[in-house]
Amino acid sequence: MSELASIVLRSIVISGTATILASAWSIPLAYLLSGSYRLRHIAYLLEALVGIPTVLVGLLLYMLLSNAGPLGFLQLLYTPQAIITGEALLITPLITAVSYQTLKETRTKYTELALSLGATQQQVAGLVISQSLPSLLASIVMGYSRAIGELGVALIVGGNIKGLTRTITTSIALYTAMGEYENAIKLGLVLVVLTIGVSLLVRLVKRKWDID
Amino acid sequence: MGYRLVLDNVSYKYPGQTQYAISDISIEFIPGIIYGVIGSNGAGKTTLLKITGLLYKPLKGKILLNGKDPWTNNIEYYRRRTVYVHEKPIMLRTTVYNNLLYPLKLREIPREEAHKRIQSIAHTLGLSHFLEEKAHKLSTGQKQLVGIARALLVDPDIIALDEPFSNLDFTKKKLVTSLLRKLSSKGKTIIVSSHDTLTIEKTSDQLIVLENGKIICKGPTKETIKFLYEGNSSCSDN
Repeated sequence: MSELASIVLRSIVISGTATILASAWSIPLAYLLSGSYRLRHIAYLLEALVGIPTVLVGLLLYMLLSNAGPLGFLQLLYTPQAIITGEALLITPLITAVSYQTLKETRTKYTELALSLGATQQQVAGLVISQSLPSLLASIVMGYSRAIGELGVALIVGGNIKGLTRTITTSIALYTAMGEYENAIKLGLVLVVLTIGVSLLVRLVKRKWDID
Repeated sequence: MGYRLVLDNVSYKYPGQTQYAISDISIEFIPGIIYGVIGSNGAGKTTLLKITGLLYKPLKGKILLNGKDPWTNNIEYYRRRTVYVHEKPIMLRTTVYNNLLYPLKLREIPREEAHKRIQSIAHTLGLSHFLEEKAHKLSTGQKQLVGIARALLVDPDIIALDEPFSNLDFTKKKLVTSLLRKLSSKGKTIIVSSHDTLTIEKTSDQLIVLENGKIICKGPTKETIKFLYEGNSSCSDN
């Protein structure tokens, strides 16, 4: 496999894993927040954190994972796992905030319907989630797009190590610094295709869901 | 055996509101009788129906079903015996058939039995041709019929219908009225709210008149309507 192909594949795996992880805790958290008036401030805080700079997340994680840091014993710094953790944390506010808005609306609409037809609390949750699926999927894709396109976390806690933690964005930065614009542009195009491609795929799924 | 539903000094206010939507409502709903609820906008009709449909828990007072308080005795069990139909029924984003199937699935009714029930109610309410249509794309009147059908499919003992006639044409109103009559004769407790006194006169046996969250008059429908229109006759029970 060529160097460029392995960089693309690594980026997809790292960002995909980070997105799966972040979705696994963000969507249940959004569901919990959407049902509680008292917890709404947490949702507002997460909304405010949607645009948190990636370098800041990278720096915080670096301080945690470095040898002198509290999690240094895990020896995760400059590994793909460190990037996955950082990207998952980075996109958590985004997925949670967008899912929260969706679930809040759907919850208001469908909870009474489900209860009025005799649903249990678990069945209500099932209905709310199932009726929100297209929008939840969109929030996951937004998270994925932010993860695959971010640079700060990958560079600071990944270290841009060839064959191990080099991703599309860190490679673009490196190639640009080295004056290898052709490779940088190629990877830039791949990044655009990946982002738009996933978005189109979700649009297709949403349309199909709407028809069925 | 039907369910005798008693509201004992029930009051309810919405979160964040200072004023009660309904206050000190005491009434007994007897199986086999259709109760009409009328009143101007904001009189408390929907709130009353949602309380009888076990969607809202009274803030004051008690609700009793055959002598038991459902809110302290397995609310989920009692909710399975009760249905509430919204004025503008919310449709699941799927076909009419799947919308009708949903409450049956909740009760784990076998697929074959569920299919039979759906076909039967669809035939009764003239929905047979729409079963494969997307429910959220139907007209408001058709949605209202689907909402009614979806609720009645589960053979509930208490049926609360919020403005069920508001978007129906004359033929469909007659159809729904005769269906409610049939259910009432089987001992179901039926509560129907409406703005339309003519339809409510044809549908209900007893009438409850609400104003500012309080019952101002209740009694046999004909006499109560006479009281409302003429004013000089006395309300039989208030």
